[in-house]
Amino acid sequence: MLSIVVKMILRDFTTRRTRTFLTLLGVAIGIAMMVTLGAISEGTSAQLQRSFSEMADFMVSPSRGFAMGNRMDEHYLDVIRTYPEVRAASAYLGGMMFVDGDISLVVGAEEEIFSVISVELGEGRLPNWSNPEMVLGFAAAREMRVEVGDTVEISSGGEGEGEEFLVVGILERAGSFFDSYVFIPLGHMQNMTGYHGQVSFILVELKSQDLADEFEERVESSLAGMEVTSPSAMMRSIDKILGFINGVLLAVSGVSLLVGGTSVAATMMTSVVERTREIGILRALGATREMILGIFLLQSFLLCLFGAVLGVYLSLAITPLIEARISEAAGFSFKAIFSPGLVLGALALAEGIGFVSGIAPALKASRTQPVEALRYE
Amino acid sequence: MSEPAVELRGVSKVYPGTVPVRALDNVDLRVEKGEFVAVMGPSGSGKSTLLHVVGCMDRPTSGTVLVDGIDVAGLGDRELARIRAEKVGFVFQFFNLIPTLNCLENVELPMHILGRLGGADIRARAVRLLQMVGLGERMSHRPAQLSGGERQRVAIARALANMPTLMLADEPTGNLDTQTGLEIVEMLREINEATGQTVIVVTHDPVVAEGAGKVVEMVDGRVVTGDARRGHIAESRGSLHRELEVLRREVMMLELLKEAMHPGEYEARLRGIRSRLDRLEGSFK
Repeated sequence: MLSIVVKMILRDFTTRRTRTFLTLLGVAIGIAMMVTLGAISEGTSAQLQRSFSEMADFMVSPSRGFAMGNRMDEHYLDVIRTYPEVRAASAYLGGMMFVDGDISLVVGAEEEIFSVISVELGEGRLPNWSNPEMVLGFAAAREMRVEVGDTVEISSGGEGEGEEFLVVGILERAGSFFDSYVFIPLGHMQNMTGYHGQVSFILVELKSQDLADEFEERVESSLAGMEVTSPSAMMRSIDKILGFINGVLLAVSGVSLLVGGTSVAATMMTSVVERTREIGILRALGATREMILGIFLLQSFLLCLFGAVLGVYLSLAITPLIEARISEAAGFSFKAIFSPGLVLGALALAEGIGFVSGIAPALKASRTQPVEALRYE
Repeated sequence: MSEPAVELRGVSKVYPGTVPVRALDNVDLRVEKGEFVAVMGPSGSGKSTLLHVVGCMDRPTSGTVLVDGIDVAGLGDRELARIRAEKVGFVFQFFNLIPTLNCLENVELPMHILGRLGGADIRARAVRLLQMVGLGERMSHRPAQLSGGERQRVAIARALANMPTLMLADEPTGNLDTQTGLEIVEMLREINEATGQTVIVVTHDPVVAEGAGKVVEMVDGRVVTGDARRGHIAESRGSLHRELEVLRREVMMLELLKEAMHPGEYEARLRGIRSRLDRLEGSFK
């Protein structure tokens, strides 16, 4: 029974190609919007997750707030390292510098930086932090076409005033903004920028997350003018905000899916009226009301399923373009994530739409009186 | 004596409305298995309504309808659908084939709906039926690619698919030229004679009526001639002989379609015929 019914439905689709395609498109656009947004949202979220797992637990900075221009005395580092809660701490002096002529974010740091942020070394070695040596993020190295063993000039201003650094290591791809950073020894950074004995802030990793309150209290009571912020907590709240924005966008795309569903309902209603006579024939041949209901529900399901599949393909086609734009704007390579859950969820949603749009026409079809249906011209 | 194929007792059908229409008015009718009955009468005389009531497409307002001994007046939608699938085969004036299915699939459809046979058996039987109506070469054609006469032959094959108790034809020649109409009537008559298939034809074509073994005339929702109870007199030797003839035809039909049939179904039908034959033998003694 099923095979012949599916045959009838598919042939009905192909005989009314234009209408079927337009209806499919309505569903496809809604699903494509939804899947694309979902994939981007999952990609962003994963990126943030990675970033805050890589990021230091805490940051101690001047309480004027976190800004590029803020600086503090590097001796605070020695004090913080004596705190019993602290496992590791590193100075961090960041600035925009010319790296082989291109502006890039350069970080002056010390050995402990890679105990605080967790990015692995991909190739080469870590710098000897008193020599003019550097490690680069994955994306930075690729963009500058630099390999281990090359020499790179970094300067704060015009040509010729720079200092040469030997590339000793390239970091593993992290999928976060660290990918585009350049790390050099703190002393060289201080010399080049002129901020002798100063750092932007101090990154801290605690022995345990439970010690957060004690650590914060200790900083506030003993280091006047300093404050503690948690980059990972910050990112979690950014993730929450992004999640909310994504929710709103998903709701908007849900509305477009609703429009798609309406067009499915309209198509189904037309189809039921057009096929009144066919319904009468099927009833005369012994089909029950339930069979008629099932046939039209199946038609609606198939319509939405094809629409959804088309939508997923559409989304796969447009997402790389969006990824490229985001990567360009964010400065690191962004990847959307099409999880099986997302795709299956979209298909399930489409089937839900199929049911909601199909149930009224299918009921109408099943209630058609066979004798009247056969008289229908 | 076996059950009649269909029996109507005091059947009325009233269509409600501001002026209620009495389409059937206290109709009595009895059609024996193996009969070929033509129902004639002017437009609006209730012929089609009669056919719809007999074919379980419509319920009577009052009265009793027995199809193959089953009282169908009180049945629900699902049971009526089941009886249509199992015991009734329709042939319509406008063919009513499914346009998106080819000939073979159209003939297979009622078997799929009944759901008794597997796909391979269904296919084999449909092929045989189409060969029987002379369309063995056009099985993969769609209805639109066929002439009217060919379409009606597909419809006849479809009506026979589930080996129904009743074959009901509503103006089967009404949409055909005279010559083709004659061929269709001839085919219905041949099927009736060769297989004992009970056929009821609604028509206002006298040529069709000529081929029928019995003519029932209707006027204003009433049966006026062809007394339905004519065959209901006490069992005579004649009616026993006719019953025997019906059984013989049923066996022929069974043998004809044996290859295309599920072995279980074949056995069951054969057993049914045998027990009726035994009873018949008892009556002869």
